[in-house]
Amino acid sequence: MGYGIMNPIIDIKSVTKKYVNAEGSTLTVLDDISLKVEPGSFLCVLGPSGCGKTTLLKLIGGFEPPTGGELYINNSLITKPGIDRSMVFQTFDQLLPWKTVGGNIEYPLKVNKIGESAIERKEIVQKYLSLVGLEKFNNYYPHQISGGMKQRVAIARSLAQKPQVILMDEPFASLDAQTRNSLQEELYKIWQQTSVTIIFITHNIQEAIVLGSKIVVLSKSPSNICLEIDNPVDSSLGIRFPGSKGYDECWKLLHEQIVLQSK
Amino acid sequence: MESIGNRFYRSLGKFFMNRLIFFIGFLVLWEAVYYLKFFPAMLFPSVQTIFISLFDNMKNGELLIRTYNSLVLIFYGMLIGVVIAAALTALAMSNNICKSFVTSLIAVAHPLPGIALLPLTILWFGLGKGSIIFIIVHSVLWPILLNTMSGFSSVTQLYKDFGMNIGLTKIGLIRGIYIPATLPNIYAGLKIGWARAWRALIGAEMIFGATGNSSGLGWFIYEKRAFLDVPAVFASLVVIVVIGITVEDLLFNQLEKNTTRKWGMES
Repeated sequence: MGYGIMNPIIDIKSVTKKYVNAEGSTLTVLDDISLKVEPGSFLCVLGPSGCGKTTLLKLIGGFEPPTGGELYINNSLITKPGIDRSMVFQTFDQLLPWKTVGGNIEYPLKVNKIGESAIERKEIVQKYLSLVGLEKFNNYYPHQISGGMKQRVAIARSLAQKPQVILMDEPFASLDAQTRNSLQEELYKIWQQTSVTIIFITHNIQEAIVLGSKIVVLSKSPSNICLEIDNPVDSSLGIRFPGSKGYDECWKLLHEQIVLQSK
Repeated sequence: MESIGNRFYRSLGKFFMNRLIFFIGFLVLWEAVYYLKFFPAMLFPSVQTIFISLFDNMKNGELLIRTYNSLVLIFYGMLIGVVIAAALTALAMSNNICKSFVTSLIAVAHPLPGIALLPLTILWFGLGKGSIIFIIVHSVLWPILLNTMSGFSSVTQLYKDFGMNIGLTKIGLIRGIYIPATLPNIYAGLKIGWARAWRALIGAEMIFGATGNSSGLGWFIYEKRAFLDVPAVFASLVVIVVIGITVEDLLFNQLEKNTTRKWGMES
């Protein structure tokens, strides 16, 4: 399936990750995982809790080295974190509290000298703030806005950096159902508009079906890829929803896999 | 809608109002104790006598000069203390060996009272400003360093990950993430340092005695006690309290209001 891609944006080659705990025993979290991610795709990684989804994302992010195997971005080896792989975390605290909403988006641009001048950077900030519908909140501090808004800002902050890939670690998991649905819709639209590549970790089947152009299921630890599919659910009417053609079958397929893996 | 500026001044007004009520209450209580003659008037003067003494000693310039001399010493002591604390924090951040070295240094030096070092200091630096400044530096350095380092080591992994993600260098990480994230701790350290500096200064000055014209408040109190000029002793305590409160309310409070409190980072 994924192996036919000629130029994957992310190429994971037989990656293994082991941790040694305090007693000296070794825990294998990821066991020989290979995966190619197509440019412009929206990859959702599903799996039972504790299966190493976040570990995989951290390896792609370059925050930790793999124990075995290699990871590549555009054919260059990943050795450290970089702005080409921007992370969006689950927790609402990911914004810097000492910077305003606008300041949070501007800061990475400033550090990486994206944008010629301060004025240009302000324009970039404004553009991405309006993309997530928060143009009026430029001068608010993070503690003055809601959790859903914080996640929107985090997404805008990532997008503004023009990364090759956005790595999302269950960014909507702490939100209430309604906010979560509207953010899913927004993210889907943004993905369609910007055609940015997204790797999205979730434990929520509905979320994976609604968002993913491709869905991968990880087995329980030591994890391997036990299912890799192109999302079969019809998306010709826009974002997929529980009534979309093929939704139920896909849900059952994924659910069975996850139940199997949770045993 | 009420503007943020208005709300700010109103809360400031309320704050000073509460302070005022406290002071009036305190003065009334003081006068009550004085008039009930619990203590001999010579040892427990009335508010009026204290303020007259304060006024006189201000007018003849003595108290002002002494206060100025003390503040200069405190200023240098704090400045040197902060600079050394920053340098040692930077050293501790550079690697784990240095970090354990600095931690041990704090463990050894922090519990040592400055006054206990005074005899040694006199032998090393002589009877001069150098010795007093040394004692002040010793008193302010460790609490500031301790607070800053504990703040640095408790910065959330998330901010560090974010910093690395956007490609911050080590120095950029310290400037852009560690220092702002640690500001509440740094302020706490500075406040403790400031209070300790006064204690050290007054203590050292009392033991040192006069160093020419440049003696400070500590010696002033000591002198006045020797002449049994109790109102003047209290007058100098008033000066110390007023300076303490002014720095606390105007400097630290405003600093926090414009930074950590505005950012919702108050612990």
